[in-house]
Amino acid sequence: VRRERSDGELIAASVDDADAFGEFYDRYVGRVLAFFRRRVHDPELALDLAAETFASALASRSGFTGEEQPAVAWLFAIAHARWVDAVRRGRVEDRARRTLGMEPIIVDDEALAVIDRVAATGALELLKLLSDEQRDAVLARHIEDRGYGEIACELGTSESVIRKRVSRGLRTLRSAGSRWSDHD
Amino acid sequence: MTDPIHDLRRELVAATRREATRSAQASAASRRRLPGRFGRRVVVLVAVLVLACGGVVAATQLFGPPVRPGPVVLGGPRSGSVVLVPLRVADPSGGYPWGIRIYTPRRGRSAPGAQLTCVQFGRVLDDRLGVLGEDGAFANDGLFHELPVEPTADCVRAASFTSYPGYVPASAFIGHGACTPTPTRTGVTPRAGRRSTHYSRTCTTAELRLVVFGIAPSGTRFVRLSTSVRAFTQKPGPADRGAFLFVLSDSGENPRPPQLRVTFQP
Repeated sequence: VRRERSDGELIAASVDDADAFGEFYDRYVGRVLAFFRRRVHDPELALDLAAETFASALASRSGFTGEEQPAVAWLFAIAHARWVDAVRRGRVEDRARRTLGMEPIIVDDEALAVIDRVAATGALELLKLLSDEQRDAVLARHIEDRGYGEIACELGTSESVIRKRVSRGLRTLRSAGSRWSDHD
Repeated sequence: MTDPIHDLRRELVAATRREATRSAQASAASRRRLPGRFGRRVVVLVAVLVLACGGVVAATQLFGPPVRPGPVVLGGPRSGSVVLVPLRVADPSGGYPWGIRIYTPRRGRSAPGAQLTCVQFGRVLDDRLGVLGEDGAFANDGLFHELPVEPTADCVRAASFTSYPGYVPASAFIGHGACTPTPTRTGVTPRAGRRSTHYSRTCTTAELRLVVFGIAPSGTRFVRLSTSVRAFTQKPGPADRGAFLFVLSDSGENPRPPQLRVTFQP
């Protein structure tokens, strides 16, 4: 039985094995798209940012050792940097893709629906790990961007209970490798 | 079937292969004798040409031209009074959040303590208030268009107030080219200067947001919006100057016009 390779092993292997990077991409494309879809209104723009994120990761993977942080944190640090860069410059940079000679991705209406479906899957697949109470609290706090007091008021409980639910939910997500709280 | 996720994977894997080949060639070349001064110049020149010509991916813009300013009313904003408060409200479909801008106009003070306050709402990107090029607005360019202070502000002479714009396009743009809610959906009459001839078509349900905003009275801890279906609560932050904003999707559950009630809890 072949053991599933860790994220770090996939990145290291991608130097000689191109499909290893494809496998790494398969694991996280949904979550990266979900990360950008929460921030931009346009699915095509979210794909554009995701593409530049993975291209940047590919271009800089030699600098990843896995000693300082897990691969998923490294990837989302790149995603966050691309987002900050895009907002500051007013456009999504294409430097990494240009350097790698990547072709643009053609996007039509059908493709836009695919992007949204994959982004939704990426966000939801993690939430299945949580209890109903934790999931509601995390969604209200981190997806709907609502305050603790407001959530507590609506759910008829105290603010400290909501904070605990969110905290435990995030801890579960972190242990699953999502590093959710680091994205905000 | 069009699958951009698969297409991106294919491009990334192909790029990884090219990188591996390039790396192997570079490694082999390093074992050979290094080129002379002229040779190195040729290598650098070729690398620059590859970078300049090889890339075919165009950078995607986020910002489009700003919304054209309208006529200045009430003398425009008083210097230093324009504030985009920190309040951010997520859109039901994701993307740029919604926000509130407040300012004090130069004119409009008829008596001490009766100062006008003007409030605008819109989408927010990079601490800028704006609208989106979608739902027919700005030829659906998908870009963010910064909103000038005029002419879309609601100005009210009161310490607190609630405004019910009703259903508005998700783009936050009400004007030329944008889709328009049907009159039964808005529950309000169009504002002056916004005749129906400016609109391109009727908005679909997915393109509409139910917006309620205002300034809560001093000492308010929670603002509660009750619809005929459910209730929503918001807690204005210390720097929000009492501003509140609710943005709901058009689920089709609310009657037309919407029945809304805003209450303030100290």
